[in-house]
Amino acid sequence: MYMDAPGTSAKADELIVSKARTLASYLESGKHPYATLIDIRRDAASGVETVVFDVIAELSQIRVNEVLERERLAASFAPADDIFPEVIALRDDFPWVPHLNQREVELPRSLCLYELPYTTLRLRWTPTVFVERIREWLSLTSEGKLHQDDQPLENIFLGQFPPLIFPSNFLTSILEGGNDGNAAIRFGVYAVGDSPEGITGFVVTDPKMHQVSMRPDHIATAVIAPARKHGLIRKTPQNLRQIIEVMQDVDIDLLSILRQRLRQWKENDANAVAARILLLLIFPKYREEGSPPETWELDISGFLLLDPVREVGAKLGLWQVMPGGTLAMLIGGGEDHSPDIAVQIVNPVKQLTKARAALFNGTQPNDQKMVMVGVGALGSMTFENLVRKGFGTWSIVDDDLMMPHNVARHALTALAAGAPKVTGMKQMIETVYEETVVTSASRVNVLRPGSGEANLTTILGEADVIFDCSADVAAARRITLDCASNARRLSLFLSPDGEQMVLLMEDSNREIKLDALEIQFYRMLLTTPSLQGHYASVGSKIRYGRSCRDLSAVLSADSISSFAGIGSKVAERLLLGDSAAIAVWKTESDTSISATWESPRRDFRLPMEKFSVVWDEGILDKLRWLRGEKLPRETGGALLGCWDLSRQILYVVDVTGAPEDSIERPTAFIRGSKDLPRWIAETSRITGRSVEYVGEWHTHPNGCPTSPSNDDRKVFHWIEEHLSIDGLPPAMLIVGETELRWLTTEDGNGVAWKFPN
Amino acid sequence: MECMHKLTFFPLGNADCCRIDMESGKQILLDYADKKCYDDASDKRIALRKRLKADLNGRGYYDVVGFTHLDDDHVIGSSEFFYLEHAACYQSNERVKINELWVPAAAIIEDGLEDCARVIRQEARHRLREGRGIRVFSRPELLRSWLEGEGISLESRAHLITDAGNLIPGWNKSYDGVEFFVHSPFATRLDDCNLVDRNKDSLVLHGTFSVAGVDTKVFFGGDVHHEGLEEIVRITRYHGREERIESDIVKLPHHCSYLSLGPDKGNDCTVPTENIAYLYEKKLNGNAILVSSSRSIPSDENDVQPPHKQAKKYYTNCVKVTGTFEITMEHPKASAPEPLVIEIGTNRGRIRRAFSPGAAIATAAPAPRAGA
Repeated sequence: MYMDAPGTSAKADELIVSKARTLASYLESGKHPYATLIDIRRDAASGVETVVFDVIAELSQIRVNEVLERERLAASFAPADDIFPEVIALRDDFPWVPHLNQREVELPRSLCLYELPYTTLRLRWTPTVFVERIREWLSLTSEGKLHQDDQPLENIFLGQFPPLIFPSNFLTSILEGGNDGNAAIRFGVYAVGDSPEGITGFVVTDPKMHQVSMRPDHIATAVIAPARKHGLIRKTPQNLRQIIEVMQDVDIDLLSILRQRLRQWKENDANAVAARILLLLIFPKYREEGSPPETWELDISGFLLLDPVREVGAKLGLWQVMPGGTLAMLIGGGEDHSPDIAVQIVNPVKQLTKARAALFNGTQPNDQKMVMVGVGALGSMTFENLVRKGFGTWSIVDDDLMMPHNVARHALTALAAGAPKVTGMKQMIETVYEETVVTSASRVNVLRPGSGEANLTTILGEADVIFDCSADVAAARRITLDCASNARRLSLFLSPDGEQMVLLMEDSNREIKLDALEIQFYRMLLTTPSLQGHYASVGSKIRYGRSCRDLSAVLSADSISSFAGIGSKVAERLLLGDSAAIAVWKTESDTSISATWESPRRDFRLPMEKFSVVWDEGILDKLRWLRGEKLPRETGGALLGCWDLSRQILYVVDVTGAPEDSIERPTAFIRGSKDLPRWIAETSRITGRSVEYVGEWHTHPNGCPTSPSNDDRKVFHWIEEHLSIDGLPPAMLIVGETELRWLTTEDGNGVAWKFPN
Repeated sequence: MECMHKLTFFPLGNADCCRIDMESGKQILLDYADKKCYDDASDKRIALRKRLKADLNGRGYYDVVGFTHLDDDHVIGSSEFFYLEHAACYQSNERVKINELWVPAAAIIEDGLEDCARVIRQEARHRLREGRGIRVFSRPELLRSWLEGEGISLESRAHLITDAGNLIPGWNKSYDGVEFFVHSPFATRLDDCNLVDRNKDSLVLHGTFSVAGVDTKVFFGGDVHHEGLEEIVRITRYHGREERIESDIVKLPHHCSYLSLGPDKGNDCTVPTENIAYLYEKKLNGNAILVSSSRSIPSDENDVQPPHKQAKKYYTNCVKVTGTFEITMEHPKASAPEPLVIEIGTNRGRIRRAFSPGAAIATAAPAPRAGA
């Protein structure tokens, strides 16, 4: 009932291989209640040492696979300890079950115990863990649970064989056509590797994934077996005859099929005779009796016939190779010499799809229509991450060319140098997986689209999300304010020294728009001391070309890729939700990255005669609080903001309180100036000169209208006089009990705005 | 396999205690014999009361405690462990309560008992008098005279008496996940004897445990001898109740004694009587589990006490192809026996064979004293 274990009987003290010795002595000690030493063996020639032992596994009374309470196993250890110890079940009727290793002979069965590489396992190998893994394997195998339900059925061949990589729809098209379908009969395959001798893999022709100039150098042909429950081939075929015999068992006449196909290839294509053949046997399997067949890639067995078609045809008795190489057809067919056709196993593997890419990333594939504006350093890497996660279908927009210096911090390499970045990115991204995810690549400047304007308008108009990585406020504003599109906008950009990254994300209803978020980000800088270096230390620049603007900042690739990782993760998470967001990440001196989040506030936009004013709840809260603190007296201060003069918009970023030396009376307010110039200079510095003094505000007492008094008009005039020196329009704000009022001209009453309830 | 019910057989030498943990949360204890010699450090038998208390984990009762019969190896120590209702001296707080007591009729009517057997008989008599918390297994008529002597009518207690050939009331396969069929004691035996033979009149049950429609059948053999077992199988076959002698798991009777198979020990292997052979050779399901609640099989040929190696030989032959024969004192190994746990689920029974890592063992108890 038990088969012989390898080697001949030896004594424990003759063992040399350390693990064999450890296992034998552990078993002999009786420390494991369910494992008993039976024999110790040694093969003098190879030095392989084998420990034979019985184990008792934990088994239910109803078993899917008939594992017995007590099984006898032999574990063989190689002297170099460089490969898994092979564990074989010595019972001569040990069942054919999933997770067996492929051997040249069918019995005894060799248990496939591990998924991890041996080099990793070796670090924590103990005889106890080893025995326990075997017992677990037996227990799970008895219950048919070694396969999880979502796991493909077992491949009949395991091990290190050259991969044959094929498109994901490949099996379907072959199965649909059957053994007579075109897809089954012949398809092209490239060999990949340094040389014919050094072939490392094969790839089924897929022009999208490969340079079109590559010509298929192998012929592949597929034969489909009837669906069955278990794998068919239990030992490794060494030659074509053995494969033919396996197929005979399932009533497939492989010899005739091959003869017919070879004849056809020879007739149709003179070059075909020089090619080598990859023979694919497809064994659709079903898991349980009555369930439909499943077509996993693992159900294909692939064999490389080591002879070219010319020799194979001759050995199959189709033709004779004449001196000089011509092929003379044999009437009626010659002898079958298929045992002389050696075969090598190849390992069929499916190309990556978007869905599987998402699966491997632990995310869900997502088809939001994304537009990426700007594929520079941060944009290219963030974009690449999102694509690899199976996120989005993409249009990319950028007018830059890929320059050699970009390679230092970009997803692309010098292969793309001189080409538009969008072209390089599309080419690269399209090879990530099978599906086309880059629907368009437009070399266009969003600020000066020129002839690309109509196309750009369409792209932005149809988008679900516009992802601004342009690192340009002007581009962000243009995307936000000048494009007719319902798309949700977000911006991702770096500080000038590359040590901070900012993310601004609109809510899904676009109630808080990107330009308002930018303003709130400036206020966040003013109120968060740890971030005030954002614009402070502008990095040095390096010249890369001859033009005045051929300067590039010094930014580190590692910081950018760290930020790109955060950016893609956070963007994906936020895009799956609805909220707006403002966040800044900053590299710390200890190499950690800190995150600071700010709550976005609703913005208010008031169009007026000369320009529009934009402010938000944060400003309103502060004004009402400052006013309330000083009642019944009036109070006030300076308005800090930034101008978009091309669109005539004044963004209010912040307001100061009354300087210490101000005069605050129930009917009058005279703003002092103590510390004010210093604070305004500081504001300008912290915000990279984006935020400046833009006017004055003051309050009116309760019960008093917000319409400007004569004194107010004088103040306005005073503001206008001073700001006109800087070429800026004046602005004045009066805050009352229930409303505020903006003045943008000296005459007139301005525009009142009631506080929201 | 999802575990729904659990049988635990404790290593007590030649003595019995089996706990049934039901998926419903109910717990049944069949026999209680704390045989450990607490003064002897080399005694490998489990400290039963300590272990049961630990497993109860604050729960103060069993739903059922059954005594298959009142021999020492099934009752010893019970008067120190259980809260007994018939006398205040057995009623301290730390004692474990019995919601329902199961006993064979002998435990009511037998005289001349001593020690724990007497205490359990007193308790059973008390409960039967009170008319609650007890089930007696017997032909009802047998108890008539004892009851009448107590001034109680048989009719008023009939609902507490279950005759052989019936299911135990109150246990429903679809509701509790188990039903118990009573094989013994049966009428012919006690009627015919003046002297009550406790082994022969042992309580023998057949439990059918159901999990998601899969039935697992367990034969609880008590201490029945071959005459009784032969009769049980014969009568059951006679009534066409083959399913009640079909088993996946058998608690072998009388600690692997040859006398539970046949009258002669045999040289190498005991030959069972005809119907007993039918029970073990025709009615065991695949991968059956036979449990011998006994000491290791002795090498001493002349030992009259069970377990007998000839009986073991017979049992092991029965499960040679598929199945297993387990001795409580040898599980998982004779040098360190542990409770034998059989989980019952959708794949029927499975003996727990967990391996305790050394670190877990080392950290579960105080380390030895260290230091100078």
